[in-house]
Amino acid sequence: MRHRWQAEGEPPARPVAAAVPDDVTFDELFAREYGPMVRLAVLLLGNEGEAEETVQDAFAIVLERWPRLERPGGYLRSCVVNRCRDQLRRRALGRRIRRTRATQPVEATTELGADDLFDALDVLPPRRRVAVVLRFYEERSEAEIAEILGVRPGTVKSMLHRALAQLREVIER
Amino acid sequence: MTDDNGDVRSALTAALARRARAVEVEATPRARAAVDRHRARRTRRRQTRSLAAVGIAVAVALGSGVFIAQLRDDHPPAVVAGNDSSLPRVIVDGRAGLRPVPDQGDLVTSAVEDTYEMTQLQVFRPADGQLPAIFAPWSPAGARRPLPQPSGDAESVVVGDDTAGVLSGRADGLRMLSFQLDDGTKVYLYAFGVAEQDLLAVAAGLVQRGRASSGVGFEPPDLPAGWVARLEPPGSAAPRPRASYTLTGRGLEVTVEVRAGNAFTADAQLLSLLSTAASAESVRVAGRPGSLICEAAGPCRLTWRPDDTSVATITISTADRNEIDRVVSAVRLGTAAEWEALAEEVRG
Repeated sequence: MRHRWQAEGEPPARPVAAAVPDDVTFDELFAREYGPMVRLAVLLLGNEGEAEETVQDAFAIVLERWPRLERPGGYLRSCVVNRCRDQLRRRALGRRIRRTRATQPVEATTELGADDLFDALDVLPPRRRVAVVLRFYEERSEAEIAEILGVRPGTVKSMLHRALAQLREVIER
Repeated sequence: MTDDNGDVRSALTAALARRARAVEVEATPRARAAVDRHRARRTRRRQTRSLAAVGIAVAVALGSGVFIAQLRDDHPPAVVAGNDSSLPRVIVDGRAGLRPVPDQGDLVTSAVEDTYEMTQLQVFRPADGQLPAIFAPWSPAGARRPLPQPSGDAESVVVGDDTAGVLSGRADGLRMLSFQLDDGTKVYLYAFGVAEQDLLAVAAGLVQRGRASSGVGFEPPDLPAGWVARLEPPGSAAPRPRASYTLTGRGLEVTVEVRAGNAFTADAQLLSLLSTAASAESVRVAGRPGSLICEAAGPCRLTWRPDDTSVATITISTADRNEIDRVVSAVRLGTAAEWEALAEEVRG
């Protein structure tokens, strides 16, 4: 039996742009990375308005520290990811406080679409969600994800495995 | 770890890519302006935090200042005269004023002023063979006047005919003159609103009288009007201490009470009496909180009363008669008959 969420030969997207040169100007960096960063933030947060706010704030941080940055592209990405993680943590905390959807998965149906699979990411803890997006959207290596998250590569591998298992459990329920 | 989630992996990759493609966003000037607004907001937030931090720091500093001022009123700091750190330290207590340290000399004069103007004279006579220790004037409670210290721009002067002295002053009118008498007694004069020649004239009189007698050499009436000094001539007969005792289940409890012309002398006598007794491990000398802790006499606490009475309670917690006898003989209080009766009672 094939579920609707299962891919039907659709080619995977390759959204990752070439590395940002270190001698780029801020406006060049903004023109080049604003869109990709917002998309990344949307995948992490699931909300476009929130994602844009977060990315603008990350750019503001980069602008403040611009003279001291050696790899502005990498710093920007870390800023976006970290601020998204903060948002996710706050969101998770709010859920726990309200005692709603704390551990409740998305509505269980037998036929989930691809968008439902994206919505299922909400059940993941913030760090796992970040690892999943960086791995399967940005196609970052486990070592790169480990560096961004400040953990060991083995931990990333374990996180990804558990995230996939958790997603499978949700979408097959 | 086997990969049994390959289908989830590929489906997830497609779902993420589809969702990302659905996001229509561009780096518009409006978005760029939003970044500037974010930056301005961050700057304002940081400035607010800095101001708050400065405010907290100022509040803490002010609070500390008030606290320190309160402490100073209650317990002015100890001061060693001049810059000579080899001089014995005179312990200054907020309530009792100067306290002599046993075997480091005796305070022969003291003046505790209740007036705001600090015009007083104090002389600390050193013990034999020791460098002279100096008095330190302190501010009465509420005055909050800092203790004057010899300034770096002190001027050498001649007191009388040939006595060297050091004169220094402060912008607020305080003048300080220090010199040394022939017998080693060092004198510091502090005065507000006194002309330099007047200060030198008083000092010259002190030098002359110091040479004329074996004592400190001056009496209160000799001091200029407005100067206050309470003098206790050295060598005056010390009042006999009073003692009472009680036999308790823990042993012998002795209360010693000394009355003297002032608290400093009373404490000096009491410390001298107790120094031997308190050195015994079994002897505990207890006093009321806030009393002087005399390091020289071991764990000794004394209580000073405003009526110039010092009181100490000695509790001998041992039942060893020899120990009790030793302490009793060391303290040597009361008449011989009284102590013999006590000894009999202890032995009985």
